[in-house]
Amino acid sequence: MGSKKMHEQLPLSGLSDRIGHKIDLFLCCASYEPRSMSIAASLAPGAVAKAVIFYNKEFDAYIRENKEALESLFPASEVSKISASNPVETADAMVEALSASPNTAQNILIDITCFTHEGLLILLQACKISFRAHDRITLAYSAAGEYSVGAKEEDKWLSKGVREIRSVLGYPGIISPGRGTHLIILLGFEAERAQTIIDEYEPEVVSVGISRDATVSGARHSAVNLHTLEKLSENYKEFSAFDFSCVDPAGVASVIEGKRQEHQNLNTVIFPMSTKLSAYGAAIACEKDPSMQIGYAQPEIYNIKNYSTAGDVCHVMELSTLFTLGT
Amino acid sequence: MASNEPYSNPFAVQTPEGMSAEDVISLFVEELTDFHQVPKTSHTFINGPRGSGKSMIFRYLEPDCQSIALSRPTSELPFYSIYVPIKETELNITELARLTEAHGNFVINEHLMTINIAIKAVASLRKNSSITDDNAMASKIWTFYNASVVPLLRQGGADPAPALPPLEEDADAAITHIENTLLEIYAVVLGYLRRLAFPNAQFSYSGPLYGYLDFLKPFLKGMRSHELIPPAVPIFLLIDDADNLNLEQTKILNTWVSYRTTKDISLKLSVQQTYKTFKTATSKTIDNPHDFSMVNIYDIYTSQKNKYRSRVEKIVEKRLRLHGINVPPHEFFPPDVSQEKAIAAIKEKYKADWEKNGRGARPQDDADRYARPDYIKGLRGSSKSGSTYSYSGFDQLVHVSSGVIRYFLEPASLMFALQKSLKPARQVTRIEPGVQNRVIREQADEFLFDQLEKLARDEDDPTAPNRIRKLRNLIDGLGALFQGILLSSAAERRVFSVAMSDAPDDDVRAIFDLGVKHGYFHRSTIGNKEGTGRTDLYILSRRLAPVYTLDPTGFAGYKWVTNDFVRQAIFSPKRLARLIKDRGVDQAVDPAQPTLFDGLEKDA
Repeated sequence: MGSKKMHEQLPLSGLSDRIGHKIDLFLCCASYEPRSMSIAASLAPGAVAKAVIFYNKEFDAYIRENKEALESLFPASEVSKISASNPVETADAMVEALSASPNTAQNILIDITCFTHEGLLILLQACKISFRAHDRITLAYSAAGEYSVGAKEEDKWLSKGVREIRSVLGYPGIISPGRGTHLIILLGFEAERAQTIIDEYEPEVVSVGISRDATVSGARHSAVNLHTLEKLSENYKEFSAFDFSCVDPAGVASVIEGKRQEHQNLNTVIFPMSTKLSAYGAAIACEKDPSMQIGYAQPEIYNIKNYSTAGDVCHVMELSTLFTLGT
Repeated sequence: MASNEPYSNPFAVQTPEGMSAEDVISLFVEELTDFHQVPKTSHTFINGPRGSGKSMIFRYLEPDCQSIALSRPTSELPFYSIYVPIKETELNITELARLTEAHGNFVINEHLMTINIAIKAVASLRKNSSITDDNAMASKIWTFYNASVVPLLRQGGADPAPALPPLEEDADAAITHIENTLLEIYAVVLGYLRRLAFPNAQFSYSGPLYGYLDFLKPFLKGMRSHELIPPAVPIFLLIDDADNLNLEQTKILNTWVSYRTTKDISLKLSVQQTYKTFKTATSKTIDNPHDFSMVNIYDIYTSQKNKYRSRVEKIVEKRLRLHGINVPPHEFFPPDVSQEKAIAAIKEKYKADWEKNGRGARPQDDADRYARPDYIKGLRGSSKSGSTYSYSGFDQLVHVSSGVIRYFLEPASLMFALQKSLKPARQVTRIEPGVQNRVIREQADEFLFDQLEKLARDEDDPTAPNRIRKLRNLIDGLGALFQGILLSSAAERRVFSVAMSDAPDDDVRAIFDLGVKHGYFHRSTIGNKEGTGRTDLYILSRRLAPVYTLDPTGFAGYKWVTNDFVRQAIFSPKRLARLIKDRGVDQAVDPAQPTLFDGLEKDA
């Protein structure tokens, strides 16, 4: 499927040429976000042989329009219901949807943009067992134009509250009893959600990642969020900030590994709360070191009306060789 | 406790688990709590919101702290405690959801819990310097391993080799050997669970299995009989944050509580109101006091108000003194002088007027009850806003903390940092009232506005309002009710609670439960109006007092409300607010009863 570069950023208008060959299977998640259509709409007509359109049942009323638009883009499509609240239901639905993989090698394109962080992480595990070494999997991510559309910098929000904190299915880690916790948070917009996570875990060490290549607005917001969390630093013996690239999954994995090495005597729990690309980076880190656990804090509510606008840039990368397929 | 980085702030909220025994002893306030009920030979639940001091109680019960507190060596302590923290996502991993309804759900979960606790029990020996400093203990530990641990492990299906003790006597190496043996067994079940996440074939667990009665109890008794811990005293397992267990694990823990093992092992469980169930694995219910005793930390605040205030005072005194600040708490947190003068003047008027128009039993009762509400009412009259009222002064800060010590310490920590930033060169010897008020108001806003959706309450929205919006409506509705009462001529105007005069329906209960979960309400019970039983009482957190400009002082009354009223607050908040404003509280609460009796009761 075209270039063998690990990771590329390109305009959406160039995606179709970049992909080049026919796509045997296209996976995406329908969402209330307009950019759930961006990757799909950028593909050449007829390029996709079969599509599986996932959608979270909890948002059915809000995503219907985009779901139907995706279905009409891909006549040979299948719709698969997953759940933002029930990871086991999601895992089973994903495995079932991917179970019809043929024995011949496939070109697979996955639009990771609009899965929840947890949904994406589960999907990566489902891909591991459903696809084979000869399948070629490309991941694509459509960057947002603006988040929390129309809100002032200090008022921007994407989700609020924490309904439940749980480990992500497939990333249980090896949590040794009696050891303290090293919490690694890849911070996005929601400082209060991060604060809740820190409060719940009472970790020995807190490492907060701040994205260094967020959008201008995102960068300003990150500074505010870091300040909010730094107020907590007096309560924890070790509280530090580090930077990471929110568009370079391999780079994120490397940074996480480095942080892990600094506190090998502690249990490491990672909360990826930034872009889906950085969540993918966390997954890569855990493939290398399965002793690390990935956690997920399910929000109470989402800023459905004004979550984001679609940008005109996307990121494309091959699935890491660390994800050994057919296992 | 030295005043060094990073704890240069006297009010820093530290995790007790990581504190040294000396620091714990210097900070812990034993008196003025129900602490004395905990170290008894019985299973005990310690129930209180996050930050109310449960973990600190447990830390204080650990042998190193008790040794200092009682001035005795560990070998002479009256009980031996083993701290077992249950961290979020430690035992409750998502993979276990695969076992729900499956054969083996109970057994696998109990095995996980058993080995988890056994590892922590062994690791806790390192905190005991009488073991780690005593090389003679090493041979006792090796003997314990060979004579007790190996046979127990073999009974459950593992086959560890007996260990040949090394030539050097090293207690730590012996402890490590037992830990590693148990960790290997723990890894087997974790590996099984990992494969369970995405099963592509049917497979069953084939590793060893252990439970409370067949393994953990004899394991702990073995630690005692081999004198790794004091030989003739009961063992307390201090299980902290037991609400982090999943439903099945909670039932298993309740099953352990139902066993009559307190002669040897007492379970002390710290929980919040989110504890999932009191049912056992066989669906029986464990009962208080038959199976366990219950210590409710929050009830101490609501029923013995002076005790909580005195406890906070002692804690603050200790913290200030340890940081070289020799200022009494009420001077360190002074109130707004002009505000207090104005309120004092109103109090004098009530005392002078009591003979003629008094409502309370004594002049001071009326002064205390009405002066501050009148002052707040006066502010609203002149400025159309109560936002000039100052939430400052030690007493107000204690009340706003709503019985949870953390909600005093956290704002105090922010106040200290802010005060220091204003005058960095000077030692902080007091927090200016303006700083106190600013932080308390910011915290209240953050508690409500940042954590709940900032959507307009749109009653005409065709989509069903989500849970958060309903909760926000309910809080706003009750805030408006309490504000209405404050500004009225009611006999008692400082109301923060509602009692349900009829049973809440499922919708109402679900929203109240959500509010309790997030700390906006505390749930208790009270005798019902008919005198035939009890009903729900919901207490709004005083941390929200600044949002609705309520008087946080005093423990006055609750208002009887119906399920219909609460539904109106949830689903038609604007209409309710208008009703309260236009027709008064009594009409809004009970439109069918236009008489003047306000149905207000006082606290017991």
